[in-house]
Amino acid sequence: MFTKQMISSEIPMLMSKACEIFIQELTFRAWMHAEKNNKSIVQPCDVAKVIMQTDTMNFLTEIIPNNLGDFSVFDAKEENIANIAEENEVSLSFTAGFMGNPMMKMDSEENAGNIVEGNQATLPYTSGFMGNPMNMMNMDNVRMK
Amino acid sequence: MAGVREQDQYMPIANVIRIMRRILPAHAKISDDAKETIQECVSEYISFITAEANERCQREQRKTVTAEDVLWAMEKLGFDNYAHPLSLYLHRYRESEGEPASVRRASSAMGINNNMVHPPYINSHGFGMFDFDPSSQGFYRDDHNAASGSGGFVAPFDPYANIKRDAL
Repeated sequence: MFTKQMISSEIPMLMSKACEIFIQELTFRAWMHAEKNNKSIVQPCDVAKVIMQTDTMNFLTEIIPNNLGDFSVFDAKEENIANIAEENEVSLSFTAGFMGNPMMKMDSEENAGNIVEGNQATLPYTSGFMGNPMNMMNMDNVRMK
Repeated sequence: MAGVREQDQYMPIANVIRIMRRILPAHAKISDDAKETIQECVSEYISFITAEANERCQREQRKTVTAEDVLWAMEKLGFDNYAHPLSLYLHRYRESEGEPASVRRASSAMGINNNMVHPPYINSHGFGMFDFDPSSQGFYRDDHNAASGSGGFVAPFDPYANIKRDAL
């Protein structure tokens, strides 16, 4: 016989705050990953990377397969990107999602420019971090986690 | 699962999106698919934590899952950096709950509870993301958002981002 469980009245409040922190941690890490690739739009693959790279998020790995379709979509569109910017084919793989949307295409061009500039830099990070040691520090913190 | 309505399967996405935007700089965008992914993740997170809390509660033959069970589950499942600030949050919640309801409402209206919810030292935890001193970082939110935000965590902002883009 299944026993009916009850919950303390404090749990909705506590879980609500916990979820808020969780959403912001996951979102911020995904944003850091997107920015690392010179993107200004967070994609499911950014979230998937965070889940794979963060130990405490391992319980979410079964959710990632739902996003594999997104990766294949990127693969399909990558051909279009390659036609436009052959020299940066690999670097632009994450910007494929911008195709077909004029505003996003503009972002893509900006990102393409950033990537070109970044390729000339000796720094390990892309141009978005040049001249800003605080962001580099944060990237170090990300790796230390 | 019997009795679970479809609209109850996930956390409401509008609320999830609002929380997401609070942590990101204004120029950041979120694809619709990413919003849904995070929505699924936080819904799974709730099931993950509460299932563990419930398991301990049943093991000890109690019928009511307590906040302590939830905090214990977080520590066991690797979210110990959540459990500590949340126990502080819970402690202050209980303190304010002891006040008469009218006083609590008045305090909430004046924003006093918001101040209590975010004592300065919580920033030192970084909620598992980054240990840094906010005063040494650029802020990217106004006081109102800071007051209503969770944990007082502030996302780093690249003040040169626009300059770089304009120069291209």
